[in-house]
Formats: sequence, structure tokens, C-alpha cells
Amino acid sequence: MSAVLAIALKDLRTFTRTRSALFFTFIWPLCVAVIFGTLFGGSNQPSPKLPIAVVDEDGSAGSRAFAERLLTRDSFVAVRATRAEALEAVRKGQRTAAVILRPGFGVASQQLFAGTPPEVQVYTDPSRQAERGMLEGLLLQQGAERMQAMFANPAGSQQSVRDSLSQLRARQPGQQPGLEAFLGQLDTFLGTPDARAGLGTPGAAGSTVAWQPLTVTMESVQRQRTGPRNGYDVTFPQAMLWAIFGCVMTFSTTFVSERVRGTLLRLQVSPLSRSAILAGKSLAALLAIFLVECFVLAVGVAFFGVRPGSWPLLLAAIACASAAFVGIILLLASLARTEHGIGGAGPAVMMPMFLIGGAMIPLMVMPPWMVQLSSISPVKWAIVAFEGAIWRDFSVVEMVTPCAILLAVAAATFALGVRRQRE
Amino acid sequence: MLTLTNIVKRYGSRVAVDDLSLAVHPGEILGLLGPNGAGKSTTMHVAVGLLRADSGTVTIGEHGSPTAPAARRVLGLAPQSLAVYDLLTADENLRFFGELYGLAGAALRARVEWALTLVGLQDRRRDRVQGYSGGMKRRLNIAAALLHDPQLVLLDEPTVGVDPQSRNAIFDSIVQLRQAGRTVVYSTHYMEEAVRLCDRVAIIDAGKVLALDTVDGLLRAHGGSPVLRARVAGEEIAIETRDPLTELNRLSATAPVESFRVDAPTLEQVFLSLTGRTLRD
Ligand SMILES: Nc1ncnc2c1ncn2[C@@H]1O[C@H](COP(=O)(O)OP(=O)(O)OP(=O)(O)O)[C@@H](O)[C@H]1O
Ligand SMILES: [Mg+2]
Repeated sequence: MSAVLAIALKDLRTFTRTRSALFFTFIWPLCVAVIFGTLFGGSNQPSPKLPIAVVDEDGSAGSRAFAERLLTRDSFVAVRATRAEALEAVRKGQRTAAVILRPGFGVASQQLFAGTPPEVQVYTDPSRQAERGMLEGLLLQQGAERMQAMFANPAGSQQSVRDSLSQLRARQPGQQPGLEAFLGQLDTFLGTPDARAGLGTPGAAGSTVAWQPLTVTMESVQRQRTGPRNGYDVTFPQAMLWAIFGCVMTFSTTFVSERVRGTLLRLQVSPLSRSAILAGKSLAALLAIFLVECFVLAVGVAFFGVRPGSWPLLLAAIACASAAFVGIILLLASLARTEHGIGGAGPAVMMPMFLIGGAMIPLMVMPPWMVQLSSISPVKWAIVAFEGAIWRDFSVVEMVTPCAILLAVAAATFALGVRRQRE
Repeated sequence: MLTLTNIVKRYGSRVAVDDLSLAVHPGEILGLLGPNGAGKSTTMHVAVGLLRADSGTVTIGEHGSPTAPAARRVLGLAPQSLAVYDLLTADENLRFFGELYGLAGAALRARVEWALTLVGLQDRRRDRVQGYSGGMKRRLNIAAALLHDPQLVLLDEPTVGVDPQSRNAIFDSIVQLRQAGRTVVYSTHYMEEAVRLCDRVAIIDAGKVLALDTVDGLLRAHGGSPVLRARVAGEEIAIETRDPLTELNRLSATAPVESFRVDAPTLEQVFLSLTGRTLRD
């Protein structure tokens, strides 16, 4: 086992020292992804702004002001919509969230520290946990800003304090004497020049009374299958395949080099079995392919706004694709006798496979006849699996088909390659 | 230690090894001396199990077939073609080959150290092999075969392209191996190497062992008589004789001998008398 690992590490070390191999597996695919991604209409800087739709179901002055504020916030790209439109946009993935200001929002926002706070309903896709948290935080922040605004405009706020006070006295006379006293003093305070000079937030208020300036209720809308968010969603899966291409060329060559350079003799006279030698070399190829796929993906995620819909499915897709191409490496290596032979046979076999498989022309823009033809290429199934996990929102069941095909390719090419290597 | 019995190996219609039998004794250095294409490398590859003979058997000591895992552990081969990784350093190459034999940790470090010292590559150990001279690569090629301390070492023309000084160093290390009780099979087409190093020499041509004996034994049996070369009265004379002194006396009685020398028989003559061709053809 340790000898198998030693072979794998040796091959990986050699790989990292072959400059051309590094270029074609790491740099070149990224160039392809970025150039074509930009051409296909990738946004250069993926917007950190959340696209949302704002629905004002209240229509009062208070809700209008709140909606207006949302529309102008830097954190959002917000549009106004009806409830139906907003939910549809979320379902289609055009908007991350629908923010709905419920009826009664205006009245509730007149009340301070007591009564029902104004209510906001937020509809998002349940998978978008990070965006949900961020949205909720931003909404609560905006709710709290209302309190600050009060102190920024003492004269205007005095009226709402008085309203709150009178409502409180009318509904719950004498039940919250502390709050009554506070609001009375606040009323007085807002009339003073001190308040006009501007003060910070009322620190004591929140801690004495369990009352929030805003309630946010989270609702789920299942997002439907959509198109890619931008060009990079399409070109990065392709780039992962081009990176694999580089690995296929490099590692199929290492098999042949061992034979040509005579080092295979050394491996064969050692106590290692033939299968152990093949296992070691295959392991190196597997690890390399896996790592370069992850590398390309990581660049896409970190800098180009690629947002995989499902990480577990993507991992499965990457693993299956890696296995398939290790088999292809073995088969390719068994076809050529010399390094030169690999240099010729490799591209000759791989290029058509890549071209019809959608590594060059994206599957989504292929004419129907070509899409059908592409099914004979393992490259297509790898891309389908990657895209399925990145933006096609595949379910586990949908992911089974491409992954099973990739594993079948792996098994067939591996078996054939091993048999031919034995000869 | 190694017994080859009636080995036949064909490449297509060409017979590379032709009914060859050979027994290597434990602790000896056995030379395989023959011209290009004689079948030395093929014989070695059959002996270590890299090639399957078309017929005949190979036995490695008590381990039987060379492909048995136990037999592989006692075998070390330095192939004729350099078999090291260019992109790795000498250190990394040797560590890797050691790991193939299950060496690890301090034991591996010690063996790598020993092997580097043996072939005099300590100061270049951290350089990548692609920057080595041909002779340095060849020395590393030998070191890689010895790393796991094999009982039976097969060196296939290990000194091709090595300068005289390094060659001497390699000879010294091979002699050291014999002193340590290792068995060595050494192929070459240089007679001088066979004479200097080998306890016994097998003369190989066209895939057959033509003769197998100590160098003295071979010379006695196949070398013919020494040749007396003299210059007598301005005339070059060469006389093949078992008794050059008597011949010289006889010559000096007839005319003054201006100069003379006695050429003792060489393995070249042995080869000539066995094959009718010279070794260097
Ligand atoms: N892979 C091969 N395919 C076909 N013929 C081969 C192969 N290897 C060796 N031969 C033939 O077998 C014969 C013996 O070759 P071998 O390499 O054993 O000779 P050798 O004694 O080692 O020669 P050298 O001193 O040149 O290394 C030669 O005629 C050679 O042409
Ligand atoms: Mg040879």
C-alpha cells in the first residue's frame, strides 16, 4: 500500500515539475473560462447586491417610506412588484427574495416600544441560507433606523411619540407605568434644543421592554430550474473539462514514459505486482484530476460569482468525472507505444470528444442534432453533471444518470486499459 | 544463486537467447562477455523475470521463479538503459526506489546515504537528474539497483560512458559487494573489465554460452600459445610458442635480436578461436 502511495506521490511530484503540464491544466483552462465567460455575458464583477422585489400591501405613508428606503439601499437591487409577480420572480430565480410589507405596516410603525410591530414577510428559496440571513439582518437594521430617524427629526417624531403615548394610555391604562413615564419624558425631550442638536439611539429603550421595531417572517418558495446566472456558470464547467484534458495528456504520457525511459523495468523487478503499479499511477491521475477540477471551481467561486446549487452533488459529479477520465488515461496509454504517440493519439481521440461533448460550444446553445450526438461523449456527461450541481438544480435522482454513465465509462475504459497494458 | 537452464527467447523469428544454460555461484562475480546483440541483456531480463522465456527455467536460489515476491526482494537490476526519473533529484529517485521495497524512515535514509556515497553523488544529491552528465546518471542507475541490499545484483553494462576515475570507483564498490557476500552478474563487451573484475566469465555470442570458466581457465583452454615477436636483422618475426625463451635463444643464435616481446593470449583470442570473429566486430 505504501509503495502504491509512493508511486502516486512520485507521479504528482513529476507533474508539478512539468511546466507545460501545469500551464495546460491550471492556466489555460482559466483563460478559456474567463475569456468566453465574459463574451457570453458574464458580469465582470458579480454583484454583491441582493436582487429583491418589494411588495407594498399596505400602501400607507409609513410603508411607502419603508419601501422607498429599501429601493435606495446599496445592499439591494430592488424593484417594486405585486405579490404574484414577486413570488414568480423568486420561483424563477430572477430575484433572490420577495419582501412583502403586510397590511397594517404603516399604522404599526407609528407605535413605539409597544403594540404589534410592523410586519415584513420575506419569501426566498430555502437553499439560499446565506442570503436569507443577510436579508433578515438588513431588514432589521432598516427597522431600527426608524428609531434613529426619530432623533434626526425630533419635531416630526414628537407627534408619533404623543400618538404612542395616547394609544398606550387608552388601551392599557396604568399597566406599563415605566413606559408611560418614558414616553412622556421622551415627548418632552424631543421638544428641547438638545434633541435638535441630535443624539444617538435611545439605549435604554430596547433593554427594558421586549419589543422589536420590526418583525421579519421567513417563508420558503421553491426555486424552479432556471438558466445559468451568467456566462461563467457555463464556462467554468467547461474549463474544468479543459483542465482534465491537460491531466489526461500529462498522465497518459507518464505511463508511456515509464515504458520508454525504462523506469518501468525498475517497477516491474520490484516486489510490486502489476496491479499495484497501475493502481499507484492511476491514483496519481485521479488525485491530480480531482484537484485541478476543485482548483478551477474554486477560482470560479471566489472571483467569478459561480454559486453551486448543491455542493454534495457537485462533489459526486467531480468524483465520477475524475474516475471516468482516469479510465480514459489508462486506455489511451495502452494505445500508444511512445511519448510521441501519445502526443498524436491523445488530441486525436480527445478533441472530437471535447468538441461534440460541449466543452467548446455550450450544450445549451447546441442545435438539437448536436445535443443528441454529444451523448456519445463522456465529456457531455461530465459537463451535465457539473452544470446540474452548479445551476441546473438537479435533484439526486437527476444526478444519477450522468454519474452512472461516467462510472460506466470509468469501468469500461479501466478494464480495457488494464487488459491492454498486460499484453 | 541463479540458475538458467536451457533458456530460449525469440523475438519473432530472431532467436535472441538460444538454449542457454548458466549457473551463478553464491558470492562470485560472473561476467557475461559478448559483442553487441549477443543476448546479454535479454539473458538478464529473463533471469530477473522481466521477460518470459519461450522455454527453459530460471531459479533464484531457494526462492524458485524470479517472479515470486520473495525472489524479487533479493534481486537488484541496473538496466542497460538509464532507468531513473529526470525530473526528480538523486535523493528523491533513491528514496522512491527504496520505498518500492518497503524501506522507510531511518532505515531508508541510511540506505540512501550509503548508496549515494558508494557512487560518489553526495554533493549533487539535491540536483535534478536532468542536469546530470551521462556518467553521473549511470552511477545513479547503479545506486538505485543496490538500495534494498539485494543478494543477487545484475549490472547490465554499468560503466558505459563513465570516466576512468568513476569507473575505478564503481569497480571498487562491486568488489565491496563481493566482500559483503553478494553475488554479482556483470555484462560487458570490454575484455579488460572482465579480466579485472570477474571471478568467472561466460563468453556469449548469438545467444549461446560458448565457454564459461575463470579467465585463466579460458586462456588456457582457448587462448592458444603466447606469441613471440622479435625484430631480427631488420625483419619482424612472430612465432606462436609455448616456450618463448627457447625460441628466443634459437633466434639469437642465428642473428642478432634487435628487440622482442612476448604477447600473452587475451580473451580477444579466446573469442576469436571460439567464434572465428573478433570481439570488436
Ligand atoms: N525488444 C526487442 N525486439 C526485437 N528484438 C530484440 C529486442 N531486444 C533485443 N532484440 C534482439 O535480440 C538480440 C539480443 O539483444 P540483446 O539486447 O540481448 O543483446 P546484448 O548482448 O545486450 O547487446 P548490447 O551489447 O548491444 O547491449 C539482438 O539481435 C536484438 O536485435
Ligand atoms: Mg545489452
